[in-house]
Amino acid sequence: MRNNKYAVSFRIGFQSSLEYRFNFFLSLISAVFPMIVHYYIWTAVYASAGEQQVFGYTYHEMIMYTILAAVISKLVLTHMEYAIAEDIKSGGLNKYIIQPITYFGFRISSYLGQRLIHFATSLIIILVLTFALNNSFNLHTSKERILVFCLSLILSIILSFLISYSICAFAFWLSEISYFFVVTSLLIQIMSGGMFPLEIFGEKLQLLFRFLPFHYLIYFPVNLLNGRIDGPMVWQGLAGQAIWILLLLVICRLVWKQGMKRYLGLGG
Amino acid sequence: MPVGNAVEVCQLVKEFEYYKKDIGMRQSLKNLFFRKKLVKKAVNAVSFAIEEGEMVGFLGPNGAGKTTTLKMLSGILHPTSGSANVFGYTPWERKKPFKQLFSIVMGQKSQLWPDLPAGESIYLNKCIYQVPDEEYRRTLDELSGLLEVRKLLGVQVRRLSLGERMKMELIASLIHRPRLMYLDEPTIGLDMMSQRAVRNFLKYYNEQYRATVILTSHYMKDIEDLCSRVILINAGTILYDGELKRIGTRHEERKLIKLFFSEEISPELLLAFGDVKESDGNYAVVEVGKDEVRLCLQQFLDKFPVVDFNIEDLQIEDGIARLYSGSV
Amino acid sequence: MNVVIELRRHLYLLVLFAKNSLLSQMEYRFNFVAGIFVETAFLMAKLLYVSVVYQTNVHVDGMTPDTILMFMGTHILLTGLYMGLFYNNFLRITEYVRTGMLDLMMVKPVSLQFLVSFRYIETGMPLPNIVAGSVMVAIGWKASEIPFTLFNLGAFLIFLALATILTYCVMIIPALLSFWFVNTSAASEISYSIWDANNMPYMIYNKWIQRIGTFIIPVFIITNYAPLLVLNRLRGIHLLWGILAPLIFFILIRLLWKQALKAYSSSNL
Repeated sequence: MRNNKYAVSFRIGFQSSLEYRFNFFLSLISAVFPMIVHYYIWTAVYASAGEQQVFGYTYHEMIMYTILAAVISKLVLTHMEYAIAEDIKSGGLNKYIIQPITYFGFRISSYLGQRLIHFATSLIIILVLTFALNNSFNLHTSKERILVFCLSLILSIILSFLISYSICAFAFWLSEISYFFVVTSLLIQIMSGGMFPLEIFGEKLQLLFRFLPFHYLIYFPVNLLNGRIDGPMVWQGLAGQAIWILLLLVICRLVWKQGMKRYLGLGG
Repeated sequence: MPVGNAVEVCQLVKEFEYYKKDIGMRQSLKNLFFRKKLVKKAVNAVSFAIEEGEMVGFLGPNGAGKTTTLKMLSGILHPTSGSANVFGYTPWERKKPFKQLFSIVMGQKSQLWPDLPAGESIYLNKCIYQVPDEEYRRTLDELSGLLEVRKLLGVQVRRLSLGERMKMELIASLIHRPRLMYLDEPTIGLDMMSQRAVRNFLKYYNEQYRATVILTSHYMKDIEDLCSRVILINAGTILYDGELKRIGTRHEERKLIKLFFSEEISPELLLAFGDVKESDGNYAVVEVGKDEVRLCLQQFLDKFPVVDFNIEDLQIEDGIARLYSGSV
Repeated sequence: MNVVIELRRHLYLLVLFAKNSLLSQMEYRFNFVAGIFVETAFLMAKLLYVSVVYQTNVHVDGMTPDTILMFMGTHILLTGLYMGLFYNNFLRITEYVRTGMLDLMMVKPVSLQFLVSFRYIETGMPLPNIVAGSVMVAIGWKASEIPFTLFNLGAFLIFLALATILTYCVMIIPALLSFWFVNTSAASEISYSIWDANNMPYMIYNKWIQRIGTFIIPVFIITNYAPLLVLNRLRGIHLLWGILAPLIFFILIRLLWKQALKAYSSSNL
């Protein structure tokens, strides 16, 4: 098996996520609280607004957005920046320079392994929630839509890995990095629509966000599933995701190449 | 308790629970739901008594239970069973007057704030231990003078060398003049000069204040210099409790013969005479009984092309190693 | 008498801790500034809620956005206090347990719980939240036409102090779990998201959530009771509970702490 070493990385990641079982169960629960909070906020908003639509969303669309965005943001925000920065700072990269395994390959396999359970459970939760919301709100989400959603979710998982991975390259240049990551992950969560739908930011900021890759992480797949994105917009969005993946692959390569030059320069 | 005993320990046992982890994907999944609980006896029915003013060394390999015993005697850990009496207190009740009369120094852990001058951490301890101002000044002056670090009290701890840091650590833990000190590898990682300075200081403090000291160390020299009495621990049990010198004398009836040959001699040929401790072609060390030295040496000279030889006593380390291997 | 002496001694130690923390933090000026920067970013995220409230002109239980702002301000203010007093210490408890640093603290003749709870006091990081929170409370106070009397101000401040005690009790729980479990980051994560339930006045939640959050895990008391009191809406059993709860939960945490110490078997044998 040519890819055996990556398979092992994948397995190690998977096992380490099982190791701390208490933690693992709790991390599933922690996704529920923001959902509840936002559900009640929006319920209060719609109750007192007395209007059909707020920020262009009907009540049902907004609730669906809120709940799905909470699940998906748990799924797609990687939080692996610290581990990578640690490798860069403490010289942990050295062993990948020597060993015949690329660091990129190791990271993505172990990341996918670590998140496999999250992927599976999140997907089940999303489907169950969609079904439940469909029932209680008398909606009908078509099978085709769910399939397209799954496709866009996979793309956004890959996209989010690439975004994190290229942001990590800052660790080559910045000496104190953990603060930086706290801010970037917060910004990414906001700009991807993980906290609120992007419509609350007003026209101008929204326009800016559309030129950035982040809204493809959460905002796009969620609105795909709740039906707000329709017709040709669907394919436009998927193409946007694909283009950003390609673009970020190039960016990753470039910044890491530069970073490694610096890293080796420092090390030697 | 009889007058004069600072520490009395009776049948002290400490068990730790831990989980067995198996390798492999299926085992990981299995561990998610139930894990096998195992018990390790870190300290197994240990008993001893230490007189006030005594300086006793705990010797033993890693994981022997030395530190665990110290932790129970300082009240950090509860024993699984058994009792201990330290100056009339049961350590793990953690009474305040008990905490006032001892201190513990661990070579691997620091109580100093790394980003502040050591003086600040020492002052904090002064406040925590409620040392009166006058006494504090006197003690600080004396200890920092003895350790020759008076000028360094205003320097940030992280800018100090390891040896200087340990000296500060000692001052911080002695600022309340404890009657009892536990030292867990106080010289670990230090250079020879600092080791010696720390040793001299401990000796002085012990003599000057009749402080009781219990010391663990991997450096034989620490123990040899400081402790007339040692307690040898392995796998949680006491193997030997008595004078350090006697560990050696127990084996005084054994001697080492070092032999140098003009050609390579296979060690098997030497086995008939005694224990072959070392063998490297032209060189061999054989351990024999004291009474057999003459006879063996004669036969060596007769049978092998010996160019040179030496007769030596066993080192204390050898005696200790013997005790360890005997216990396993 | 003895109690007074002990109290004074602990207060003096608290001052020393604050001084030492400030001196330490000044050593790393970059981190000091970066900490303020990060907290400002989080503050901005919280202000998104304010933006949504004003944009939608939502009314909660008859309260206008201006009055709601007072609740949000109290929440942000207490977030600042939490960050300054407890956050860093609670993170470190996990660390002390894992590295066995707790050993050295246990042997000190001073309350261990006190020592680990207050050893590091943040000075820079909480500033943005405390300033912004206070300003928001002031705006909300004025717009809600609450009389600015000494009594009202005093009552508000006393309830903030009670809220700080409750904050301690609720937020220390994940740190205490680290005595039993190796990795408790998810528990902390849950506590943060429960904490953020206070982004809005608790009247938006349904009755059961309100009851749980008031009587079982008393997070809602923390940011809701002080504004409710000065709005003259905290009455009867809730007023009594607001005063009793901090006491009761502090005793409970004290008991849990004792259990945790029993479970402590320092990390290296």
